[in-house]
Amino acid sequence: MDELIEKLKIEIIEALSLEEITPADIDADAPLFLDGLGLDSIDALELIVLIEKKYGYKIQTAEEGKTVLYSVKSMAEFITNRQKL
Amino acid sequence: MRENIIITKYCKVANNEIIVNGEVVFSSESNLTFSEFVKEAYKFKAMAYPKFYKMDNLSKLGTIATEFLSDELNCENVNGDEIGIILMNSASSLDTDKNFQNTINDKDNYFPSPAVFVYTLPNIVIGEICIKHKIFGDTAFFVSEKFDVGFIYDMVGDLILNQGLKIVITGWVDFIDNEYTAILCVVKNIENSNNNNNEITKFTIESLKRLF
Repeated sequence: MDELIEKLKIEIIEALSLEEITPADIDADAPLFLDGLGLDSIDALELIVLIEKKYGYKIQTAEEGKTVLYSVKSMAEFITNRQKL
Repeated sequence: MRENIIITKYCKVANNEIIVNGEVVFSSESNLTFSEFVKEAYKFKAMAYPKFYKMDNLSKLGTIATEFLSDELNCENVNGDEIGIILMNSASSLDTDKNFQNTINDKDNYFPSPAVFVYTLPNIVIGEICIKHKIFGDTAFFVSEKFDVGFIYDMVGDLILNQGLKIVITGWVDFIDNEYTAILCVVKNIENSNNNNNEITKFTIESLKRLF
C-alpha cells in the first residue's frame, strides 16, 4: 500500500501539473480538496480519468467519487480493494 | 473625447523575449521551448500563482504578457468592472484543440482530458487574465487572419467613450505549434483622471499600426 501511495503521489503531481509540489509535500491522509492541495472540480475529473487510465477502475457514482478522492490514501485503498476482487 | 484616450504601456512576447515599451526586460536562450521559456519568465516575475502551470499555452502566453502590464491596472478610482479586455488572434485555440484531439483519437486508448478540454476555446485566456487581476468589465476575443487595427480601434474606443470603461487591455495573442506572439497594450481614458499617467502614445489607428 505504501508503495502505491508513493506512486499515486507522483502520478497526481504529473496529471494535475502541480509543478511546485513534491511527493513529500503531500500528506497521504490529508484531504485533496479544499484545504489540502487546493484542487478544483476539473482536477477531480482528471483524477477520475487517472484512476481509469492507469489502473482500469471506474468510479461509478458521485458519492463514490467523494469517498475515493478524499485523499491519496483513500485512492490507494480503492485501487487495492478492486485489485483483490 | 478621443484625445483623452492614450496607450500607457505595451508588451511584446515573441522569440523567447519579453519587450516592454520597446525595451527587452526578459529573455532566455533561444533553443528553449515555449514551455521552458514561459516557466523561466514566471519565475522571473515571482508570480506565485500555481494555477499558471495548469493553463494551456495560449493562456500562459496572455497571462505572462499581462503580468508585465499589471502595474497599469492598479489605479485609484478604477474598479474591476471598469476594466475590459479585447483580444484577437488567427489560430484561435487550435493548438489546444489538437492536443485534446490526441486524447481521443485512439478508440482503445480513449481518455479525454477534462483539464485540456476546458481550454478548447480562445477566450479562456481572457477568463484567466480576469480571474488573476479581478477584472469584471466587457471582454471579447476575435479570430482574424491578421490584426484588424481599424476594428480594434473602433471597438476599444466605443468601450471607453460609450460603455464607461476606463481601461482596456487589447492586442494580439496567438499560439500554434510552438510558434507564438503576444502584443498587448493598456489603453486608458485620462479624462477626469487624477492619476499621473505614463503616456506612451495617443490611441490612434497610426499608433496601433506602429505597435502591431
